[in-house]
Amino acid sequence: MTAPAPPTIEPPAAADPRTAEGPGRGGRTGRLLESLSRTPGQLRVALAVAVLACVLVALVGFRAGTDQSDSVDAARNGADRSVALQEVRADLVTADATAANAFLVGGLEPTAQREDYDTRIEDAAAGLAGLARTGTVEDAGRIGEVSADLTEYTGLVEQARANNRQGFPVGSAYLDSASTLLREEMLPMLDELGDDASARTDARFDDTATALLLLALCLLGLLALVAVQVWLARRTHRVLNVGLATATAIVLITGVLGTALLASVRGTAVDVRSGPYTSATALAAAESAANGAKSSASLGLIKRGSGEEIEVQVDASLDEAFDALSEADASSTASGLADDLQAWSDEHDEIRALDADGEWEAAVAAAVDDAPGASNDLFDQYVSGTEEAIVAEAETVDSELVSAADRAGVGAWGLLIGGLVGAVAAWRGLHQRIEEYR
Amino acid sequence: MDVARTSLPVADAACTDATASYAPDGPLPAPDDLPDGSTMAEIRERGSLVVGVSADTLLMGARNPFTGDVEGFDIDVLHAVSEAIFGDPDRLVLKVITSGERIEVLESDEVDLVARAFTVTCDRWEQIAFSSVYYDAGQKLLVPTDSTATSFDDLDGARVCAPEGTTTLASLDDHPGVVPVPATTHTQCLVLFQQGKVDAITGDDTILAGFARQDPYAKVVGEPLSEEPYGVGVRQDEVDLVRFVNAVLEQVREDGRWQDSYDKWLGDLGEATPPEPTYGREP
Repeated sequence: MTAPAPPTIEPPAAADPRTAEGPGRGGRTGRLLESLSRTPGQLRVALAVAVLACVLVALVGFRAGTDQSDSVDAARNGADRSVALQEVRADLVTADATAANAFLVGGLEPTAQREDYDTRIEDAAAGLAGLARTGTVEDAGRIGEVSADLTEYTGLVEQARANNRQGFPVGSAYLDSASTLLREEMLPMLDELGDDASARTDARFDDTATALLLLALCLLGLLALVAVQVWLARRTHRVLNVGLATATAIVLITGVLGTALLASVRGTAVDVRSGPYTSATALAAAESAANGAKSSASLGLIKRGSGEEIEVQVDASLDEAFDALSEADASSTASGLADDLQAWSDEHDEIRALDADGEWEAAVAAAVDDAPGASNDLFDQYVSGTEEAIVAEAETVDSELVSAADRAGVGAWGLLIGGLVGAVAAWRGLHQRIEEYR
Repeated sequence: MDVARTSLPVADAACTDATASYAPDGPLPAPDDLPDGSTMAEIRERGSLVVGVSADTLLMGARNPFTGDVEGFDIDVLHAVSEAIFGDPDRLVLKVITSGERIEVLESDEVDLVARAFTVTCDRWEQIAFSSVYYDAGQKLLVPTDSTATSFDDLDGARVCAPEGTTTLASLDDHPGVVPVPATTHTQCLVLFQQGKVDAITGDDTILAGFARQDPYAKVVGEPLSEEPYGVGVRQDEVDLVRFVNAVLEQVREDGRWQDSYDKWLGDLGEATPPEPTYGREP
């Protein structure tokens, strides 16, 4: 093989024995077959294959990148929504715990607790309104029901207050009705919404993997380019077609870089899901569960001396809270929070012991005490610590996923541009060859 | 048939009069002179009298939200028993129970006594024991102030609330015209009434008087639909404690404490005198 081989070595016509029978075929198909049987025709096909391969890489890569970017965005929205739902739940349970605890104090509730209750209810109402705006129609319907129940709930608590201020025992029955409404209607509905939201979020997180599968299609493009090159090298006896080689290199490099980028996005999504996202929802669940325990603890004291039965609920809620905290263990703050909750739990055990010994007044005094180190103060520490941690985790989820979506977007455009530049290079390389036959 | 015939009269013979309790064993002993080995001595040894009460039945047993104390006509009876055992009326450990729990807390040994608008009946005598009657309540109706109803006959188709697990709820079966609505506590009935979810509440006049005091748009009406004699619930095997409580009640009736307590809590229901005790039951 002597290079460079002049193109005249293979004359444009009659080199292929098959052309002999060509004219007999006639018609369009015949002409097409005839042109394919000659080198320029075959080169045109090769050109088309190479360009299409590059365009395929460009389009599939772009699609994979934007898909992944969309999935990451959707996962972020879903995660936000799951956390927001958990926060509404926590607000409601906290409001209930505050109302029940304030009730223990007597006719005139402490201003600070009243304000805390009001803030919680406002936050929950605002949270529900936000969730109703952004969710599905079905979600909006269910959130509407919770909002309607919330109006009834606050009405019952107001009636409990009004009666309590006058010293009427029916006040405690109103409070009981309010808590029952919360526990039996509102929380199950919110839990349902939360389950749906987290299932959807999980699905979006899963979607971030399918983009990578799509990217595997780009390999086909790369293989086609290589095949064209091998064919060309054999046919023209030239080792390298610069244009085609450049195209292959560009496609290979952008493909590798794009895949690496999208894989890193997927990695971020996986990490966020198992890390800050799981922590945020677990922490919010821990906040709800602990407040449930506190509500039950107050209710246990309101029932004076018969609190042992309710104690089962306190224990169950505390177990739930500790479990949730251990789920959130990835964050360093969780163990500190578990200590805070344990401190309250220990204090609560002492209060229960007082009530069981008939020292009800002392038990109530301890349960409503908010001096530093006392029951309410310990609990507030736990709750504010948990809320700070939730906010921090939610912010991490947000910023990590925003940057991941951005990277997926960069990957998308990179693959598109790389593929198109590759297509141009391939076209130029082969077009030059075809020109040599004119 | 024969078995049924013979067993029924026997049961009846054991309880022809639900209000008949065990007679006191002589005059009330001093707190430091309680019979050795008696249930009272045991309680004194322990240091407190554990009692099942209501904390939300205004006038009978209700927590005063301003003082935190549970107070009322039922509670006064228990203070008198505490005074007799310890020489101190305030040695009570109160356990707040619902009316449905009154028998089980005695049977499970959680409390020594139950004073919670507790009607003495032959059925209940089969599970627990009662002191002599310390108040004769009667089942009446609570209706809105603008209602003209005075009896169940006027409440055809109306929703009437009564607490679960009470004779009151069972009594609604005798009035097929009304729709019975059970609630966990009597006070929950008042919530339902104020929310317009029931049209009337039935219950003992003592309890209804407490409701009327909490709601200016409610009134207690009618002649007593049934007699509801209140006794202190005691564990079935603690006959000595029943006799002791009866001796305390004798004193309370005689020395004016009963009258003072009645006037303080239930005076709205009109003049009343202490019910005469009946005895004659033997273990």
